[in-house]
Amino acid sequence: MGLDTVLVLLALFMVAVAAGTLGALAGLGGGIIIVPVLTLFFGVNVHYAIGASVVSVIATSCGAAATYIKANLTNIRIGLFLEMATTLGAITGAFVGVYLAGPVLFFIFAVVLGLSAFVMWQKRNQARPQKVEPDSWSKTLKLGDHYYDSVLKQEVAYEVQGARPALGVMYVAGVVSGLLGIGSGALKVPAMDLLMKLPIKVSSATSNFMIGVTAAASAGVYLARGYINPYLAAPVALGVLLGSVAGSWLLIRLRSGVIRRLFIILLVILAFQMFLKAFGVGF
Amino acid sequence: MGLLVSKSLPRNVIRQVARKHPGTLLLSLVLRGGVILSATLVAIGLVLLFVTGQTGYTLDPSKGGSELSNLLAYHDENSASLYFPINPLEIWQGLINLKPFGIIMFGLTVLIITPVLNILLIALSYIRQRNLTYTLISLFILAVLTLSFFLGKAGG
Repeated sequence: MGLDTVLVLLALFMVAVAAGTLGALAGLGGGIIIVPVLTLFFGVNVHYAIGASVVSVIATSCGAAATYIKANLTNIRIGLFLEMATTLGAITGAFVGVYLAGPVLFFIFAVVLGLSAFVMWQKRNQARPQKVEPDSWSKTLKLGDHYYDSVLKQEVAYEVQGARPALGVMYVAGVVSGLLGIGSGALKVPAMDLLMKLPIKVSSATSNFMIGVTAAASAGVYLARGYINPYLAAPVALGVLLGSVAGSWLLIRLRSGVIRRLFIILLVILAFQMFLKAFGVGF
Repeated sequence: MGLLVSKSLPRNVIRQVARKHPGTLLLSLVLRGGVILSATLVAIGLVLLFVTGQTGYTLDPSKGGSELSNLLAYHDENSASLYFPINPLEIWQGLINLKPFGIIMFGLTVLIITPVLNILLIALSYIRQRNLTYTLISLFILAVLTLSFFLGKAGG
């Protein structure tokens, strides 16, 4: 095997490790960084980049979901209910995405990057949700539950509302996820925080559980279409997975305020570059 | 992210959860096991690729020959001479013949199937509990996931 081939594989792996680490530190997956980096700096075809990203999104999501489920932070009923919408959205997005030309995808990506930066910039309300009146769907589906809060050191019961509007938002999140090969946790978590009034830990854990299933739906389409290229997906998936493990290790040892600000700046820069690429202004 | 939670949760809480919801431990085990199995397979495939310098598949000579460096041509879908297995049978044959790309694709397939397997287990547990609503919801998701593979093929 030629030296150039080995070097490119190594470079892809290193970049994926960095993306996975940053993604875990910021609380977003690595997908949102890996696709821009692969397309902007490695010149990878956007559909192959998305295929590789989808696989790494499944890896990181399943790894984290395993821990959250064991801790009973994941609300499986809410996850399942919303996954009806996210998986349908994901196959819609993946099916449409393979037909869309590069510039269109770059433009949508720029918008989503900008939106994610905005969501991160707004501080999430850490306070416990006020008294929530469950709506009829939430009551029928028994969406409310309780979890053990490790800060308050007690069981916290919670109710759920806004199940129907959340289903609509989740369809859109699914489409974005399928279209761009990202987890789109930046859309899912605020929807669960704001519409369903879920406690912040439950919405993070449940979003993680959903991201893996949603990405599996789009991965099915990308795999059958031949866009999951082992030459690219193997180093990227391994790298992002390793990076996310490192990131969660660092998370408890670093001050997250600085990282958050750096990550927001990175998202804005990537958004700007993807925007330029969409209009062929170039490198 | 995952590590943080397990660090901050006392062991007795985890044990309590496991006692109250016996199914969750299995779900967590399947998720973690799937990721580890897949990562191991992909890593073995990559090492074999490095050692042998072969993907295990002949590359289209009309599009640049069998030089592995041609794999770099993934920039352009049409000119790429890259070949890798896509359908399950071909991936399985690649795995048992220890072809590097076959092993990698099998590992990636294991990863994609892991969340599907998880939903299947959840569906089975709701069937056993005779919970009609959630049985139907989980079967609906399984149907959509199955559809995704056929939908990808159909469009060609």
